[in-house]
Amino acid sequence: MKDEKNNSDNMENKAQKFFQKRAESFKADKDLWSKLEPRLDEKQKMTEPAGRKERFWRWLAGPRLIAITTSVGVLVILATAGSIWLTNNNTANHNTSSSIDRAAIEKGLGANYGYIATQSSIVITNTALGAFPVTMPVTTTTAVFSATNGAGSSFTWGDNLANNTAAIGKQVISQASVSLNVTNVSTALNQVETMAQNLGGSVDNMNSSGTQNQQQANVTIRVPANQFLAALNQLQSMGTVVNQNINSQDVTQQYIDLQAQLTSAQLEEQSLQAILAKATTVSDEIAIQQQLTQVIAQVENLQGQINYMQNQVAMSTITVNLNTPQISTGQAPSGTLTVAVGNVDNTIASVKQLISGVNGIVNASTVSFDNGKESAYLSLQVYTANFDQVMTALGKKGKIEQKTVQESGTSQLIPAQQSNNPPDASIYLTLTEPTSFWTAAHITIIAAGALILVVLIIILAIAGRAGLLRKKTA
Amino acid sequence: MIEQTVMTDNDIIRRCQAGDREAFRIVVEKYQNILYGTAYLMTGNRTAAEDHVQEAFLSAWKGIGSFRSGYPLKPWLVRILVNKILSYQRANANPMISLDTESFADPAGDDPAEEIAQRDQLRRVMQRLSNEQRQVVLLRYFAGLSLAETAEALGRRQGTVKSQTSRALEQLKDLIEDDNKS
Repeated sequence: MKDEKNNSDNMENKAQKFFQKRAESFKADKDLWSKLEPRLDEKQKMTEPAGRKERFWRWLAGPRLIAITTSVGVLVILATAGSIWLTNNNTANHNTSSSIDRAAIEKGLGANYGYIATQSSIVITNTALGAFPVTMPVTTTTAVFSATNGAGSSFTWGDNLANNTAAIGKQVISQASVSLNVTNVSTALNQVETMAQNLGGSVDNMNSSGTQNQQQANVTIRVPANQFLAALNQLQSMGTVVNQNINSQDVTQQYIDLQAQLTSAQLEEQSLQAILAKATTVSDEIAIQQQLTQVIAQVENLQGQINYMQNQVAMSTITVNLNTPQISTGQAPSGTLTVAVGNVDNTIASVKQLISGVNGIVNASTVSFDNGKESAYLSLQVYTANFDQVMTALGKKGKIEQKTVQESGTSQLIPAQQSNNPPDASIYLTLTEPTSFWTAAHITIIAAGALILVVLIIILAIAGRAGLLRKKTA
Repeated sequence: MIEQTVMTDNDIIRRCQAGDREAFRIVVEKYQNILYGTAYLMTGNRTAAEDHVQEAFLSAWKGIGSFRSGYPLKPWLVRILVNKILSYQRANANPMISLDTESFADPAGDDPAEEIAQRDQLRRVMQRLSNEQRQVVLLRYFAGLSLAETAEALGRRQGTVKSQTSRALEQLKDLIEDDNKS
């Protein structure tokens, strides 16, 4: 080792001698100074060893700048592509995290149908004549729904909702309301009652009113949860569906809470009973008895709530409204309108005011949230005479995103104040919040891009300092 | 008795920094040959070498104000020169030095035969090396810079310079040994 070092030093000395001997043979231009002196006053760019800053800029220039610019370009393109993707996703209201089987829905829906799917519900709309909106709860992997509209076309998808709900142990209370136009209300009432009994259910409440020509009835039936959709199906075949609303409430959490409270109260009851048995004085006995009475009341109360809930879950409630079809000389107009508004809640209130101002009816209103964006669906009925006026007024509530109008055929314009008939023109209004370009996802993408860029620059800088990027001068 | 004043580099620098051209003339005369030789061996071209030396001295004059006294002048000057040459070579994409026998043998055209022979030997030595090795050997042994100064001037790490030097010396071993014996 030592010898090696000595050899190396020795070699260095020899090399030094070799080169320095020859260095003396190089003579610069004799007139160098005379050429140089007049130039000393020249303004010349400093080219002495570059400072840190200067070296950095020199290092950055050229291919590195191109590389960085390209990276920025690519990131901007990626961010833009991401933004477009997100915007499209928002517009279509598609929520990929939702467990909705879209293919099945789309397959099941006819050309006249549209649907708005959210995490919690699917709103199905029919743009065809006399159509009805349907709100479907999404509580299972595949929901089933089968319905027939007035024109006779039908759609179906998935498996039984109630069965699946039971299979996964969810406690869901399903409710629906259906408005039907039937030729004979009394016959229809009988059909509804028979149907309820056949399905293992019962009629809860029934009332009817009106004359022979203009009869109306309301009936509330209870059917087993697993027959809920079958019942709806049969109801729809009894007449023309004017309006239908289905909603479900997941009470699993409340059910679990009630069960826990009950168990705890029962344990308390047992321990109080044990203490009471051991009580030696009358005053103790009285005190414990008082406590015990309270606990027993609590147990009964909880048991009652649980029973009610179980009953509600086991038996679905369907409210059926039966009407004789209105005497119509032609097809009333209908329209669908999607309006982007600043505040959905305020707009709903003003729309309701507007509709009541023209003696119209708000049939259904559903509010849903998707990715933090509120949207509302309103089914409105107005008199044909007011249809155009209302459509215009609704359009002014915000920015119209979509509008379709089905004009009336030979409809006779019935002045609202002179008519005893209910309003006949339907308007399906969807209110959405405008899609903001800068969503959190956009900002995240851009921030990630910027971060990658910074990391890239740091890596380049480190590599540059380590001499890895230096141009080879060989 | 005439008092002889020996001016050190530090004194000269201070005077240069005060704008004394005469002092700078001393600097030029003191270092012009070594700079010229370095430039010549780096470029293989007499005119180019002269131009680079001139430019290096001009830059040194402009930048002498920022030179920190107490530091040796030669490495600083060599660094300016090497920087100029490398920048030029990078910009003109002609980093390959052609060590053609003729111009190398007699750059000035009127040199004694012995000097020509010595330079020819130097040419043979340099031809054995890669460009990186040539630069390292040149600065280390021809210009007499330290390892750190060479690394600084070439913008390489000391470890790199060290390994390049030892590889170069390994290749030049026989030629240098022969020369020592003679």
